[in-house]
Amino acid sequence: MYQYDSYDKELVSQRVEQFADQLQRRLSNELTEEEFLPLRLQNGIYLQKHAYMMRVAIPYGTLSPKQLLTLADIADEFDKGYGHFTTRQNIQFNWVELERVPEILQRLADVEMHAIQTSGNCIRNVTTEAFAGISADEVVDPRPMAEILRQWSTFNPEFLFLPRKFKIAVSSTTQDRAAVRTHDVGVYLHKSPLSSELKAQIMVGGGLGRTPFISKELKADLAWQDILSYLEAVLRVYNRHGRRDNKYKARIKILVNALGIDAFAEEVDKEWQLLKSGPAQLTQVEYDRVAQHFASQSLPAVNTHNFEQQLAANTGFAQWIKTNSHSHKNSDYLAIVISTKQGPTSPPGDMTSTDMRYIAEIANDNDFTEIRVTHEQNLVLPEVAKDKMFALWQQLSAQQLATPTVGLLTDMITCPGGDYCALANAKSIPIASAIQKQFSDLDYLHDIGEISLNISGCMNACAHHHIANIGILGVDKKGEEWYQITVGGQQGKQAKIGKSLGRAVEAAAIPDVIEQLISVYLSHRYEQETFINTVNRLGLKPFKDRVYNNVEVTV
Amino acid sequence: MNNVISLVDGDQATIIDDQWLLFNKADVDDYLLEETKRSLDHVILPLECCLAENNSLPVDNVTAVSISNDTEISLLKPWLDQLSLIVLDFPKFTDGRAYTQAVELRRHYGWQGDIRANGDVLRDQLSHMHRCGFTSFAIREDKDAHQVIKGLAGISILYANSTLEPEPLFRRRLT
Ligand code: SF4
Repeated sequence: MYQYDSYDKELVSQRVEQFADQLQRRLSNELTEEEFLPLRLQNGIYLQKHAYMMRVAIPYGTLSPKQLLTLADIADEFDKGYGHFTTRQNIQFNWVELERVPEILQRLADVEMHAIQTSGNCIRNVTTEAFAGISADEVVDPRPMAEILRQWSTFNPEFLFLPRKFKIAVSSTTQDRAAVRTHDVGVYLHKSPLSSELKAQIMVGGGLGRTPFISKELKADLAWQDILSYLEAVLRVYNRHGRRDNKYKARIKILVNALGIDAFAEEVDKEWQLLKSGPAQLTQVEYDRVAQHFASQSLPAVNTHNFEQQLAANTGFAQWIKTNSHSHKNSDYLAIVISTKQGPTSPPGDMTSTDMRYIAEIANDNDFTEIRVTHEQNLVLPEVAKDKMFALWQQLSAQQLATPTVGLLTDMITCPGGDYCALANAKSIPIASAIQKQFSDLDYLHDIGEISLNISGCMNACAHHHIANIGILGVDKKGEEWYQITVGGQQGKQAKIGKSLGRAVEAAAIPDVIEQLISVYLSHRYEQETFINTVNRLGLKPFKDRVYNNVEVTV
Repeated sequence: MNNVISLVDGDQATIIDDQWLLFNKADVDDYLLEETKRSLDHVILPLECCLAENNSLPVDNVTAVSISNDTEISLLKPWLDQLSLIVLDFPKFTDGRAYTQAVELRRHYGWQGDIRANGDVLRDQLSHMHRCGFTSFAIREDKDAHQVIKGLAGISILYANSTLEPEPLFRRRLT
């Protein structure tokens, strides 16, 4: 994983001092709250319903065991003993005292972590996917480019006060697992079939929230050396022309749609012509310098005979491998997903310090150098030898960390919602809990198969409900919490926005509504057909009829 | 203008009250009518006054202009050679358009005169402005420039290239 050099260390340590000074000036009233607000946001500090929340950056969702232990310590000493992993592979602490933030920052800096640009109207930390560097379907490791972009965007002085937040994601796999198309800018790295030169397809204008948009192609085949100058051009056009009169219309997606993608691309190109081939042109030396941090270690060969036998002999183990593992490019190894959604009492994405330590210790004992955080708010052990698998499963099971439901209905993405978030219309955690209760039968969950269900507490769509197969959105009806259901959303390269099923429903009805959606699917699916494919084939009508009119549908 | 931090004379930032007079469009006419010479000495003219047709002002002699943060920099082009000061506006410190304007002036037009930040100009943004090419800062009236000047230091490391340091860190690093 990426290791800080003297520049990175110096930058992060100066940042700790700088923020401590800013906070001091706020506490002594030299700074007004209005003046302080963007400063604290640029350091990931929000004021929530009951307390300050602090969002810590986890670049590419990658943590060393030591960093995970530090997060556990912070959870204990500065929060209530847990943290919340987010869809952008970061972690949030919900009960932070403002006065103690510099102490937390220092703890983080000691293990090469920070909270820089995890919020605010600036370029947020760049994301990739949790299986970067190990996936068989990867053209190139996306992390070196993501790290180059992260460095370029850090405190980039021209782009710290943009019209609105700006999110960049990088993916390089045939199957996009980084939700690239819902980002302000998405980068698909690929190789030119002729020259095998690394190229970037640049997507622009994706985003969810009030006006959801799937991004459009801005540039098909950008040479990798040009990526910084090209993104500088995109950001400059956005900073110049993005709307600032209405925060709901300030994201780049609105500008792109107002101008039209062609006119926008022309503006960018005009700007880019002035920058192209300038000093920002990336060099091979720089690429290699960054890439060596992510180079894969040579992995010893493994005798997988016992593993195959254990799979055949133990259905629980086999079930867990089926749902909770992801293939590794070395077939003697697997990546293992640890679900944070262990049941009705564990809010999606939340993890206790005890579990964090338990996982960090497993990693240490097994010489795993990293633990990853996924977009779906789970953790990953990216490189587990198959001959160690059974022992790992037993160890994780002993701490209830082997819930075999990854990718299934209860592997929900959920925002903190009304329990914490000041912007919420409705709670999301109790909804997730009720669904967990309703769908507790493992065999039933496995029969339903692959499906995504996301719950956002308001239109800001932090849980990306629009691109879930089933989306649940909290709405406010005369002070009461109601929920709008969408169906048919999809992630990935063919990302799609789900459609509204009909009028909102009350909290108590949700498990039943989900049950009915599932029953329509189960009675109409073809063999092997996933929920989303059945929805795509049948359209929404049978689902609507069933939920609102209780009509038995025949198709 | 008062309460100005200036980097124009050398690298050492100094706090000055200088002779420049900043006007909005309405006031500039009144001022110039009163003046017998109708001289533009020390007058910072709003750019729209320069652009007005049938101009009664002696705009050929203009040496300083102010522009709003939604003004296209290309409009300044005919005047750049004769200007020594351009004032860019921060109506709110959270509105970052003038950063881009400064970058354009320096990097696309190679303009070397004094670029001054005016408006909601505060301590914690000073180093960013400086890096984008601002060389003087008219600090918001209610703030003590002796405190604000500390903000110029900022964080000493920047990875990206900037107006101030045209080479990105990766072209300068020793390791
Ligand atoms: S979706 Fe709304 S309620 Fe949920 S975390 Fe985001 S802003 Fe808060």
